[in-house]
Amino acid sequence: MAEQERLPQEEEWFDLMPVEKKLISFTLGLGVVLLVVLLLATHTI
Amino acid sequence: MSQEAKGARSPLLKSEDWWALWIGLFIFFLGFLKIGGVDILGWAVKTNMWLDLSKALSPVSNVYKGVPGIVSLILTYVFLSVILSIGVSAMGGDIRRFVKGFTIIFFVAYICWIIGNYAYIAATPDQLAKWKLPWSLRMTGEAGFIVALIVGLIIGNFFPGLTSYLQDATKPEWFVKTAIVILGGQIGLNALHSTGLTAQIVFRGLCAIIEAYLIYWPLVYFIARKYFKFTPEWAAPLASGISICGVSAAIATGGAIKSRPVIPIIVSSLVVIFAVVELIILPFAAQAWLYKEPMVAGAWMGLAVKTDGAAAASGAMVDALIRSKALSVMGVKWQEGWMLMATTTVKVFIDIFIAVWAFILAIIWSWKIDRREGEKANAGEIWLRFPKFVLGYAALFVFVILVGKSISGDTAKLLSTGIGEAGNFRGIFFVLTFFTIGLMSNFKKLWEEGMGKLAMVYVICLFGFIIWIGLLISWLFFHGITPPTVA
Repeated sequence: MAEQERLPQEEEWFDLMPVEKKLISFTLGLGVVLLVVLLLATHTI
Repeated sequence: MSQEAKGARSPLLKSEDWWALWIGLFIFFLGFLKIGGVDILGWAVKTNMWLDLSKALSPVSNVYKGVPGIVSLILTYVFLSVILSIGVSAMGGDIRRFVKGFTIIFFVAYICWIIGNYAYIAATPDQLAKWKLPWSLRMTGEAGFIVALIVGLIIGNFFPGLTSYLQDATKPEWFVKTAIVILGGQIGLNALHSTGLTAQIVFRGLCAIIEAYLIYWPLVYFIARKYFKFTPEWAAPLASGISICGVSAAIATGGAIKSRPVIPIIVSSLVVIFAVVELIILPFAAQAWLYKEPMVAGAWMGLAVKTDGAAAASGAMVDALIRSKALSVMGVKWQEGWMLMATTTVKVFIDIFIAVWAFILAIIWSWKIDRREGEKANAGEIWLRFPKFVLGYAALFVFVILVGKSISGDTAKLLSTGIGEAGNFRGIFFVLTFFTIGLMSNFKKLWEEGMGKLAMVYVICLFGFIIWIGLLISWLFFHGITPPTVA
């Protein structure tokens, strides 16, 4: 019974996978580039 | 019903995800019929801020103003019991056990909501004069969610017998998904009203949101994964919950990446608690340091405070606090409502983007992160992962925009009222959600699951950089803009 009530176990922690690193760096990079573009746009509109 | 018959049930009828969509759409369209002059949902109960308990409840529509609040409450209970029981039955659940549990959950949660709307708890500084109050806890009516959460936690942790009795109706994910579907119509209405605002503020609000998504999310995700050793299953809902729009984003992300249901639920409880903390601190910080940049302050509230209600309340507080300071320090009398408008504009865009972000994450997780060696990614897998209730949210958003564009005058007012009546159920589903989150949050188990560590990431990210990056983005896009002055 006690075993049934336990939440399902999650996977063990593993280091960031290459695809996650790509996701983080791409998203952040896009954010920084767009920051410049959008700032320029707001000041010219 | 035989096992075979259950197995043969259409996928559209056997998951909470789909039933959240159906019930959300059903409630919305009952409200929408108001456009034809039919007030079908007007009897539903509405919770008001109160000093006199007899005025805490009333029907949501004036059409039913003769109906006592308690009758409205009972009618609302019956209505929800029936439509939810249909869903439970279709999903193969036990209706009797559900109704027994739901009856207790509904009334206890509602009492919590009434308590949270007590004026001394809920009134924000801009409302003190109206209510003739010397002080209040300034928590807004959303305090009811906190009270429901706390009462749920007490029952969930100290009354295992009752918790077990309520188990069949303890469905926080279902409740919140239904609320989010209904929210789609309300957000559409807000966006529709925004078209009349200055294009400059709308455009800058959109820019600020794109930036907030793209910068907040990867930073929180990275910190949670790298330094706090969370798996992607935890890190993604957490990143969405902290960086986007709290509860809705955490739930949508949890659905998109197929995390265990308990994870976005835990994140949601943190979001609500910290939104209240932000509501208490940030407007006063903005008054102290940003009174010369009022629109920056307004946008900042939208970017930093993570629940809709708390963000709107923060915007209203900032609007009141900064206008009074500007008048006393600089002798400038700004028009009311412009800072709040910046807050709500930013918040509208945040809410709109939840569906987009959930879709992107569903693609990335099914194609890349959860893909096993030798497995081929396909569109079916993305569809399987995609949180279906988000479709309802997006569909109602688009529908309201399209309908709203094609009508005007009294019909537009009726649309607004009808959506408001449907939206009243969103609040009810939210309070049910928080009470049931409490019920299923057994601290001993949650601690084993990493709740303490999660709260630490939340505090570090929120106060370490989310608030400050939000301030920087708000300043970059809104500095130098001030509201018109009162002639």
